Amino acid sequence: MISLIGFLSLVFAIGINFYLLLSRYIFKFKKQRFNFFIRLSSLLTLLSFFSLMYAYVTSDFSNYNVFQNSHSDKPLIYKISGTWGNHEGSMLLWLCILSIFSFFFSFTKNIEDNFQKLTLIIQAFLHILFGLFIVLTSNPFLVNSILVNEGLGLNPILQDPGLAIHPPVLYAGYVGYSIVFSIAIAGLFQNADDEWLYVAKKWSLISWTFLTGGIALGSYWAYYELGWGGWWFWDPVENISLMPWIAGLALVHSLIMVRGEQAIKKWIVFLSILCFSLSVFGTFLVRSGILTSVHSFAADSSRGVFILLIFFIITGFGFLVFLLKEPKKSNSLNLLFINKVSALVINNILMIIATLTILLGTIYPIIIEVLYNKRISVGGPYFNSTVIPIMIPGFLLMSIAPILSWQTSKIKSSKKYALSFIILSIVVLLQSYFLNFNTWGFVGLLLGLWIILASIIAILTSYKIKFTIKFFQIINPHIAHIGVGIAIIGITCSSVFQNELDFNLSEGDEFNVNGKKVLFEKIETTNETNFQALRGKFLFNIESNKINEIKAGKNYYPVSKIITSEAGILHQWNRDIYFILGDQKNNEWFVRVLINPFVSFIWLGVILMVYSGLIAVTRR
Amino acid sequence: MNRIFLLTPLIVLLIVCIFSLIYLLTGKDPNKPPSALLNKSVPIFESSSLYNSNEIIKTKDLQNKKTLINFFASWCSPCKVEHPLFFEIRKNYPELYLLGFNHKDPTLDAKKYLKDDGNPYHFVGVDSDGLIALEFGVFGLPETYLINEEGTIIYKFMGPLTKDILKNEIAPLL
Amino acid sequence: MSLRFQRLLLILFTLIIIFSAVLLILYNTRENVSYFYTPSEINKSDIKINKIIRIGGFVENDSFKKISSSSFEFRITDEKASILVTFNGILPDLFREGQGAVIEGMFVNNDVFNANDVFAKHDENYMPASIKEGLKDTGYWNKKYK
Repeated sequence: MISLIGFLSLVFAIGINFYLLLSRYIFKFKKQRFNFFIRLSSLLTLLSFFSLMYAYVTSDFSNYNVFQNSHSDKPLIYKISGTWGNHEGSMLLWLCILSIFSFFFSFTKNIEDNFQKLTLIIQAFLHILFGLFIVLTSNPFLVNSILVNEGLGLNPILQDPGLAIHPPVLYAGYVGYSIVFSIAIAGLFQNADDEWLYVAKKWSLISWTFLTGGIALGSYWAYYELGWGGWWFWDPVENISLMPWIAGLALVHSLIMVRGEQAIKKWIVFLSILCFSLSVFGTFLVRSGILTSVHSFAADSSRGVFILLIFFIITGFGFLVFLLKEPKKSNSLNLLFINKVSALVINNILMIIATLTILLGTIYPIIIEVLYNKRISVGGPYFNSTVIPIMIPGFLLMSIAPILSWQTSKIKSSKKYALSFIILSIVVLLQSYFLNFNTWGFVGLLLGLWIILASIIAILTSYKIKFTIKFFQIINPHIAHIGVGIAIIGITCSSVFQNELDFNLSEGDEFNVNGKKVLFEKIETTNETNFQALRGKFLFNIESNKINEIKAGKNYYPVSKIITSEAGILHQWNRDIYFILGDQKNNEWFVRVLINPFVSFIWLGVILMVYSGLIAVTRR
Repeated sequence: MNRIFLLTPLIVLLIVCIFSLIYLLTGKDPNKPPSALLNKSVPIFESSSLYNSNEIIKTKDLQNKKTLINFFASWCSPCKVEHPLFFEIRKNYPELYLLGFNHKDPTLDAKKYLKDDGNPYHFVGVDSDGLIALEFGVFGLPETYLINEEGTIIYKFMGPLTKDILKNEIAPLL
Repeated sequence: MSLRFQRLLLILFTLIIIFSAVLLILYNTRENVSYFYTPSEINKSDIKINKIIRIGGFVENDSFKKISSSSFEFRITDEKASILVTFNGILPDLFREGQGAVIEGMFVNNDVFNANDVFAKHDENYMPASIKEGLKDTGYWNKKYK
């Protein structure tokens, strides 16, 4: 019953969007009527999504999708998140977010009516494409052909709070670019004045902030759930989320130039189309199962061809309009050797090169296999040694870029910066030299610290410090850059200076980690609601009076007969101590301890970036 | 010059799409391990019936007919999903011999499962220690093999069968 | 500095960046890409020692040896050829004899492959077999599974 409601409302929503698409040519609507229909279709899509969620929450196994992916024993939160923990549901979530964005966009004021209408029509077009994809190839409302009273259970690796909220946030980022895409295309069609650039800026900031949060959540999930002690693996699934992120960053920066009246409209339109194209391409790569990935999803090549077609239509349409309706000549740039414009141009060039590098690395295996029938995998080494060096000039530049002037190539108090850079280099060099020297470690630390230091100097020397909202809006770029600096330090330390210790231990053994005594107290098994837990209990720092207890082990899920590893992590502000329980032989357990210095800095840096994204949205 | 700049994205798009399409259509799937036994003879096995331990099935018994071998267990939930399909297969292809291997299952559970959901197989062999599955190189349950008259494995599928797979991949071989 | 000179410098700088990026990409697609083979595709004659590659196949029956709780030895096979693999570390939860695995590492000599990483797949619908038996072996799982 509820499945029928969901399916019908989905079909109606698509129908309304067809109607709206035709309305451009056949029936002319008044603005209010038009907005009413847009909102109605959004609400219907939402209704459809909530029907599916309702089926999950009530464990309605007459729905095939629920039967395949849920189980009545599951805790409520995972029943809810189960809605998007599978292919069909996640595509419905994608569509749902698309219509939520349309919904909010229909309320935007200060833009010309026709322009808003055209943007929403393009949104309706996207809605139809993805809606048809769902109805034709991945319908979540199929009726179960067999009568059952129990479901097959959700993949236990997906039963995790981090992963419950990761997809919606990430999708909000991906799909947010659809609005930016539609705005840019509408801008091309109408050859509108520059007003739309401000609207595009706001929406691209919103999408970018969501995307940042989504990627970070996924990365944090991988860190504590996959149990490998790493948080970024250059896995294809991660790469494809990074591409629109970097392209989106380039877009946000190129939109800054609007303020200095230096914008190249052509370039902004190009980036807007690129961001959404990369988002759809990412969906295609994940959903077609074309990639070898640890996050493997069920593959189905007919779906793959369909999404590839959608990707081709959207991107082809976008770039074709771009080719035919090329924006009229804009003002020439005030390029100097080092002023704000040149800094932003270099930033954009670097980011696009980085995006292309990742794109190439991600599709390279596909090309090689088609051409030579050889299987290859492009992993961390490739990306580390291409993307990072390409970004380094950008990192050097970003420390001072926000205070550069639009007009001249003079830098205020440039001597102070030069002096502090030299002092900092010497300090970091000495520090690295006396501890274990590592080139990447040195470069990373220096860059990170330099960005933070220069940003702080810039804040102190360029603005009067007041604690008003205005002040925080003005220094916002610096805050974002400090966030990046902190994240760089975290990334460098946790990857370059990671320490790995392996032990073979019996219950009751004591061992040393970084000079602290640790006791392997015992192994215990407990029965939880939907899984059985095997845990090794460790007591950290037993010689002090502040003993930390860490539990590491595995979970066994009887419904799906799957074992997952559960790492035990002791979080400290300057390092994480990460316990992994391995195999056992003759009651001797293999225990791996990873010391990851400054991991918390990565998350702190990301929080600062998300914060500054939010602040930037509020600024006009 | 300007045109070339504007055309570049379209050209890149075309190249990416063509390669992806070829890749998809050639059915390459990097996520599945190579199928080791395909086009080889059925491994030698011997198994007794679930219902009567004196009734034995051997590799030799599969000669001169097409056989569909399916590995299943009562504890394997995807097996439950594909189960009704075997009734359909039995109805539509009466010539085909359906051989089920009950994998690492207590006899009582297996019998109960086949009583509740029905028994589509001509013969249910017991593979309580999983040795036959090892011989076949079973990767995970359920798994299905199609064997021709000469005793060669001509098709193998991992995971639950679906109507599409039956129609597009198995039916043409029958 | 004249305006023209400043722009020239900027263009030069940009060209250098693009050029070095292209060089980096070209170099790394040759050096830092690992090829994927099945055991029978590996030719004894052209084994490159100390070059990272991936091998995919099945873990051969009765080949798995636990040398200690953290070092293992097994053979990986595609029924046509097999390769001796050594591995130090933690095996993935789904690793079992007779099941598929992908390993990444390098040949230390003509016969022995040292794996840095062993992968087994997680999937949405797919249930690994033999887990029950594996569980019994560890001896610490006290409940009966059906």
